[in-house]
Amino acid sequence: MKRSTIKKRAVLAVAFFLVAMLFVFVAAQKKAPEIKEPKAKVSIDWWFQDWPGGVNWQKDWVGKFQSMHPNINVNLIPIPFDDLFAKLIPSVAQKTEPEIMYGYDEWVSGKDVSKLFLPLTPTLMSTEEFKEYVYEAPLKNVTGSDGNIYGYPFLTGANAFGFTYHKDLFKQAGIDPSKIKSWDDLKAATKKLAAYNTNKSIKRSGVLFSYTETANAFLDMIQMQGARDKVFDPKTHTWNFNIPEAKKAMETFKWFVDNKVYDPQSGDPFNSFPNKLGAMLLIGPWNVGSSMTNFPELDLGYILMPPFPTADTKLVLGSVVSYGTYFVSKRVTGDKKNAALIFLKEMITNPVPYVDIPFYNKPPYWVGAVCNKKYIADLEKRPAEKMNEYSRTALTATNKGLPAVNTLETKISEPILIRQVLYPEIESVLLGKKSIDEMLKYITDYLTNQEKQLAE
Amino acid sequence: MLKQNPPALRVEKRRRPLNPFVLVVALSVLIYYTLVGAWPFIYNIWLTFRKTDMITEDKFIGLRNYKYLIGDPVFWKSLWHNFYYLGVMVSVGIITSLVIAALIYRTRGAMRKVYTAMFFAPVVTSMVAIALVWTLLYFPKIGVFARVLSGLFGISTERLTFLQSTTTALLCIMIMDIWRDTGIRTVIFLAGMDEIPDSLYESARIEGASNLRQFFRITIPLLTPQLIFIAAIYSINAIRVYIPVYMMTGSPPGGPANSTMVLTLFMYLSAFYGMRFGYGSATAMVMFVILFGLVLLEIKAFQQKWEY
Amino acid sequence: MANPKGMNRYRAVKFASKFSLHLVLILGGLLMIFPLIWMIVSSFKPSLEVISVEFRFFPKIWTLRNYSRVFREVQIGRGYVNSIVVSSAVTAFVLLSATASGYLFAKLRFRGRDLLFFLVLASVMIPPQIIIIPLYILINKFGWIDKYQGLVFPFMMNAFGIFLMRQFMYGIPSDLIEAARIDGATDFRIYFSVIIPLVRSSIAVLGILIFLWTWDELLWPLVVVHGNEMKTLPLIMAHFTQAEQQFPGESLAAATLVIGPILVVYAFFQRHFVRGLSMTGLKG
Repeated sequence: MKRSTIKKRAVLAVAFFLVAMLFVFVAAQKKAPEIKEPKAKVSIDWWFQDWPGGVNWQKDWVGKFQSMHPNINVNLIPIPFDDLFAKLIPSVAQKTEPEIMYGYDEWVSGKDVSKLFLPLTPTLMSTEEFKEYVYEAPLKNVTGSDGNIYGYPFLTGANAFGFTYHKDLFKQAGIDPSKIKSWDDLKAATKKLAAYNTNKSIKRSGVLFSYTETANAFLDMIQMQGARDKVFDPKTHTWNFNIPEAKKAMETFKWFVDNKVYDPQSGDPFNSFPNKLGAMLLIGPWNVGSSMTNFPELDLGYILMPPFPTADTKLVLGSVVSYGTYFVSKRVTGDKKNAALIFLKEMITNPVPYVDIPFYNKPPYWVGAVCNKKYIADLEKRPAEKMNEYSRTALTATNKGLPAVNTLETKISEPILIRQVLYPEIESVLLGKKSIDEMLKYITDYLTNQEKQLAE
Repeated sequence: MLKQNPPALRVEKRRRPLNPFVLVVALSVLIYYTLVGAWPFIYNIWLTFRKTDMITEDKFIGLRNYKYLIGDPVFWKSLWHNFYYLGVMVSVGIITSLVIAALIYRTRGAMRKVYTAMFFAPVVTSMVAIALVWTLLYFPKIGVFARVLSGLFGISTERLTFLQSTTTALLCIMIMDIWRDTGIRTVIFLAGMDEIPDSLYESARIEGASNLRQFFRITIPLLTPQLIFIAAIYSINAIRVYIPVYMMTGSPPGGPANSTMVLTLFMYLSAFYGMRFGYGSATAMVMFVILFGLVLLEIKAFQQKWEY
Repeated sequence: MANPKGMNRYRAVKFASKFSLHLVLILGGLLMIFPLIWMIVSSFKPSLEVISVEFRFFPKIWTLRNYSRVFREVQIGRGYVNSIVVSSAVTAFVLLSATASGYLFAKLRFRGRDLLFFLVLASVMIPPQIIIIPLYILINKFGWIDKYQGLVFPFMMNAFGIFLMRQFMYGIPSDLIEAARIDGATDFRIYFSVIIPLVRSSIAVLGILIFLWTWDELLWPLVVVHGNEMKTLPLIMAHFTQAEQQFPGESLAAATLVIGPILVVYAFFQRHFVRGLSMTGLKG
């Protein structure tokens, strides 16, 4: 019948069409798309976190980049941390994001990044090639459900790493920073550094604990003692802080308050530390550059956190890390897409000019661990006279810590976990409002509730 | 059988043409407030029934957001803080402004203008900027306020930790908020006082009433409309307070041990930091209900006629 | 007066009470503006001096470094332009819409009037933080993100303004309006020629209030501004403080730059500010 012939032909036509498409598709996949240097001027927007030092660093880099690629204009838009975080995912949801975004990998932990950003593999290079440039551990949060990589983590963010300190105060107290190898050394040092008023109140704290890093350090300490699996079970979505390791961590912090070497009400550490109301500050590595950029009269140094007692000494870095990460918008096309990809490719495959900027500026902009293998390889080959205090610290931090990092698979977002729950609770213990046991029970119940609500 | 209006009614209906002014204005208002009021509200209700981060996940979970809210101790803490804020703002705010207005009322001419100007100046300042200034003034132990208070009243600077202490943090924020709007309240009271006819005071004085008595028996009752107005505005503001708390106790948000956590901050954190937009919306609904109740109360109060 | 001594005593007491009254008021006034004075003075101190263990009111070292840094880091001129444009535009729209709606609700009858008014009233009760998300979605659909339109639209009509104007217009004698109607004037005409002139002073009040409130708005610009170009002053201020917590001197300089010009304007026009507000006409 005529009808069935037409039908048959239709089916054949569709099948032919589908097969043809398949060929085209496969052929397109085989050849990695060429990223062309744009011929006409193109401008891309870049959201970067606003912090002194950071902005100077990126401006420096943009200048270098634009001299290498004169047709690409990079529009650097600094946004403070809180806002950047609040804007990032909503703007992606609303399709108003810029071409390049800087963020931290833990902002997308627990989420499927393939829904959020442009895949960097195989667009830029294959996944295997990418892993030759970047250590595997930082890639955990930025790997999508399809196995592709959606972000470029390149440095460690503001996690609990170590202590910034005033070199002159150390000298005055006769303390040699290189001799602080354990928490006992640390405690002894703070006792020497603290200064008191006539009425025995604290005039200068031996150490100050800044807020997010303290909460990070708390989690770090628990994991350093080997209790990672005890404190959080991703399968049942439960937290458990009613463990001796957590208690020990809290008791460590409390020691500093009880022994009057830390005044928890001495004001915003960002103001009290530069004013020498504290001799040391528990903070991420970025603070060295940040403080020194604006107070060049301060002579600051940085020491890594000593391993926690009974800790697995491999885990100096701890396993609560955050990586500064670059993301590319998945909506860009054409020249803008090429421009954005070239920007990233430059930073990934040619990292030395970029990462050298913070270490070798006077004052330095930042110090910390670097996730780019090629950069670390370059540092290791560098002659001793070309290394300075900051590049040396970076090398140590990376080699000692980075490969062993293993972030917790919690669904609770970092700001809520660290800022809204952990830190206020730690504070309530330090201010004497709650006992350690009360606090541990509270956060166990509260966080487990949150985790379960997020997991359903 | 067709329904037909009796002829008389039909004629009346035809006599009223559509008023273009009404059409234009009413329609504009309708469209605007639908877009900016009704639509967000309905969207918000819809959100409260969902678990979403706006991009990677969005699913229906019924009333569970409300259930979680009720079980969240930080939510209750915030709620309490907002009512505490309301109580202090309205009472202390009104009393201070009344007293100042009463004092300024007794002056005349150029001096009165000077005083009014001085008290009103903070009103025109940007809340964002002024919150920062006060945060610095409140620096614990070695800041300006700490030194002044310890110098004047001999309080040990150890106790003057203002925004760093769980007991005084919210109070300090309120003091700043009260300070800033004192001018507006004072001016409103002054205007009300100006309207009270002197004859009332005359007759009271003749009867031998003291100044204080006159104040309580004449001035205050006749200022009732202003009192209600101010109580209304500032109680609504207290439930919606955001900028002072956000700017002065922004890191960590909610102040020392969550002692300045308020509903707006809690909502913002749940939504934009926790990526739980449904949860944040549920908090907003609670705020809406409270505000609705407050506004109803105030309308009732306004509608009462005060006769003397 | 038969008793001269008593008269003197009376005068003395009266003088003393007047004196103490003025003393209290002067002290109170100075206390009120003290934070502003401190802000301006301290903006000339280096950051380490602002919060320092040794207390000084006046700077040990006077420096302009804070200001130069603010101008360098932040486009404060642009911030001014944006704030002025946005605040002025919003004020203009609000005055127009509030007076028209005020007239509508106070003097004209139409079907659904009370319902419409209820809609306006209800919008006050919705916390701004939650309007943000759907509003953002809406503004995005219009393509107004990071543009003046996006900054202005959510504030174009103001419920408070509508209430205030309605309140005022209740007080306008209806005979005036009836007379004009009999003369054949349309409501548009009545609005422009009769109503507006009558509420001139309250327009001034409302205008000032709306301008100040819009100037101070932070939450919405925070969300809708993405780039550097469209930041309004409070946003610049908030970002600056967040990013530069360590440098209180500069934050104070930024604060002075944001508050200063308004204070100056206020100083010159304060008569109008105050007089306007006192005419809120709150009759029972």
